[in-house]
Amino acid sequence: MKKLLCSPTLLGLIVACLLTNTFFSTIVLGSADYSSYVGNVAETAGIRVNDEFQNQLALLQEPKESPESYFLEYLRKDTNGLSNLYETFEASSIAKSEIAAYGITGDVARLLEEKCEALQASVDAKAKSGEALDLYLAGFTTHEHNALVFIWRMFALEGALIGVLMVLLLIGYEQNNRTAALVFSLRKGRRLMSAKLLAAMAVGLASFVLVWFASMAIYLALHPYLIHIWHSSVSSAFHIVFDSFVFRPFLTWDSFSLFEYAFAQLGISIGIVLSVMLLGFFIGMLIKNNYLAFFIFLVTVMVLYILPPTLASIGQIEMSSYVINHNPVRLWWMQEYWFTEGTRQYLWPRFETIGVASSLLVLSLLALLGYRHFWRKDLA
Amino acid sequence: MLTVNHVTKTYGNFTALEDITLEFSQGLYALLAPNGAGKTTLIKMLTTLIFPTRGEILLDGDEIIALDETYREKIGYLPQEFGYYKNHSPRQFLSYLAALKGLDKREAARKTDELLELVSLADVRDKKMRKFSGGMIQRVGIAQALQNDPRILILDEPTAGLDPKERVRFRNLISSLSKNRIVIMSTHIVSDIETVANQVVMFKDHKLLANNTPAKICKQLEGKVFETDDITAIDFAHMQLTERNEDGHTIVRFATDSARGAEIGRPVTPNLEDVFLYIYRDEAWI
Ligand SMILES: Nc1ncnc2c1ncn2[C@@H]1O[C@H](COP(=O)(O)OP(=O)(O)OP(=O)(O)O)[C@@H](O)[C@H]1O
Ligand SMILES: [Mg+2]
Repeated sequence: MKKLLCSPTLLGLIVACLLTNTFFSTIVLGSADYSSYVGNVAETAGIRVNDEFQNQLALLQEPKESPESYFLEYLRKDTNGLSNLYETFEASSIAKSEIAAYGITGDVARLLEEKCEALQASVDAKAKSGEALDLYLAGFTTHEHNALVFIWRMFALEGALIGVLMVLLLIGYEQNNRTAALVFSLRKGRRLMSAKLLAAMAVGLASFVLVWFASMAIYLALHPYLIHIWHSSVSSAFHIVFDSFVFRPFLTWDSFSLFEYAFAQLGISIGIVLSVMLLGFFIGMLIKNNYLAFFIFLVTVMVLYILPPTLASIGQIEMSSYVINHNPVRLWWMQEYWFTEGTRQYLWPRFETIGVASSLLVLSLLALLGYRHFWRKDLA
Repeated sequence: MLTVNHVTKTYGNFTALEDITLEFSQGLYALLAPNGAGKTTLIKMLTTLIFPTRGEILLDGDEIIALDETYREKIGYLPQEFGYYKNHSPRQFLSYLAALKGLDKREAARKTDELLELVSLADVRDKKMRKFSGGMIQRVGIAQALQNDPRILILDEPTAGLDPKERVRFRNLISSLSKNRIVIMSTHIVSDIETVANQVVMFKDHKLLANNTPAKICKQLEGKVFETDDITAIDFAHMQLTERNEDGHTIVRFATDSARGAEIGRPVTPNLEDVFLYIYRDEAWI
C-alpha cells in the first residue's frame, strides 16, 4: 500500500507546488531593494538598533545620487531616535480601540479586554528585552514580513490540498479498482481504512514538510538578505500590522526571532494540514464516490470559512461564532495574526494553539465516528 | 451451521429479498435463480459486505456481524465481478490478499503456489494480470477464495467465463471441497450444479421458493414433461421448454398439466433446466 504513495500523482503535485511557490516568491515583493539594503547593513552593523549600530551607520557612505544613498538616508531616518516601543505600550489599548471602533459591548467586550490585559505581561517582557529595537526590515516598508506570511499561507493551502487528495485517493482506491467487494470481505478488510489514514497522514505530512522546506530554500535564495535579519525579533517596533482603527504592533505572546517564528508557523501549519486531512477522511468515510467526496469537502471548507462571520452577524448566537472561528479554515485564513492576540475575532489568548489543538481533537473524534460508521456500512 | 433467519434486504423502498430463512450445513448449496433475483444480495450479506435490513445471520448461533473478524476469517469469497490491481501478478495479488486475511506469510506463499497450480495458472503466476483473459482472472479469484482453507466457501457465479475444460475441473474441485465444508454458489448454468449440488435454493419474487435436493426439485414436474417432433400438433395448454436437433428433426420439450401430453409427446424425466424454465416462465402458457 505504501508503494502506491510514490505514485506519479504525488510527485506531480509536489512539483506543481514547488513551481507555484517559486512563482509567488518572485512576484510578491514590491520593495525588495530597500529590504535588501537593510539586510546588508544588518550584516555589518548588527540587528539591534543601539549606539554601536548608529556609529556603524554613521560611518557608511554610498555613491552620490545612487539608489543606495537614498536607502541609507531612509535607514538613518528610520532608525534615528527609535524608541523601545513596549516601554510605554499598553496592551489594553488594542482592545479599547477595537471596542470603540466597532461598538463592541457586553461579554465580548469584556473578554476582549481580559485577553489584552493578559497580553500586558508579554509587553513588559518585551520592554525589558528591548526587542522592539531590533532592526527587522526597518522602516515603514516592513510589510515584507507579510510577504512571508502570504507564502506560508500558500504552503499550508498546498499541504492541505495534497493531504486531502492523498486521503481520498487512498480510501477510494478499492472503489476505483473495483476491488471493494473482494477486499472488504476479508478478515482485516475494513480495518484497512485506518491503515490508509495513517499512511496518508504520514505521506501527506512528509510532502508538506518537504514542500515547505524546499520552497523556503527557494524563497531565501531569491531573498538572501533575510538571512541577515534571521535573528531579529518579529516584535520589532518596525513591525506594525496595518489596521485602520487600531495601532497594532506585531505583539506576540512569546518572543520569537524571525527564525523561530518560521518554525512556529510550520508547527501550526502542520496541525492545520493534519486537521484538514482528518476532515477529508471523515467525509470520505461517509461518501463512497471520490469526486463527490472531494466536492463535499470543498463545500465544507467554504461553510467553515463563512459560517463564523455569518453567525456573528445574526447576533443572537454570537458566542458560538467565536468558538467556531477556531476551525482550521478560519485559522488558516488568519495566519498573519498567529501568535498575537488575534484581533477582535478571537476572545481568548493564543487562539492559534487552542484552535489547532481543539481542531485536531474534534476532527479526530469525527474521523473515529466516520470509521465506526464505515465499519457498519453497506459497501457494495 | 450457518443460519439465515428471516432476513429481509431493502434498497430504499425496493425489496431485494424478503423474509428469507435458510440453513446451511456441510455440502454444496446452489443458488439458482434468474438475473436480478437477489442471489448476489444474499451472498453479500453472507460475506458481511452489506447488512440485513431485518433478520439475522448466525454461525453456530452467533450473529456474524458481532463475530466480525472471527467470522470473516472463516469464509472464502469469490465476488461476481471483482477488480484487481492491473500491475500485480497473480502471486503479488494473492500475497496482498493473504496479508489482509491475516495469514502467516510463509505459509501463505506456499499455499499460493499450490493454488495457482490447482487453477492451472502456475506458468503465468509472475505475469502482470493486465494481460489476462476474463477466465484467467476468474481463476485467480477462485484461488484467492481458497487461500485460507475456508470453512464456508461462497462463490458468486464462479464458472462465468471458464472454458469447458476448466469448468469440468472446477466442478470436480467444488464437489470434493464440499465434502467437509459449506459451499454456497450462485449460478444460472444448470449443468454446473445438476450433478454435484446437494441442495438447490431458488428465489422467486424476491422470496424463497425452494430449498431442496435436485432430485426432489425435479420431482415436482414428474409426469409433466414430454418430447415431440411436431409441436404444432399440440392444441392444449402447454409450455415450450428446450429444443434440440436430432437427425434433421427439431425435437421440442414441453411441459403441460394436461393429461393429453402423453398422446402427442413421449414422457421424459424432468431435469433441473426444465424446472428452471418452468418456474421462471413469463406466465406464457400458449
Ligand atoms: N445497491 C443497490 N441499490 C439498489 N438496488 C440494488 C442494489 N444492488 C442490487 N439491487 C437490486 O436488487 C435486485 C437483486 O440484485 P442481485 O444483484 O442480488 O441479483 P442477482 O440474483 O445476483 O442477479 P444476477 O444473476 O444478474 O447476478 C436487483 O433488482 C438489483 O437491481
Ligand atoms: Mg449476481
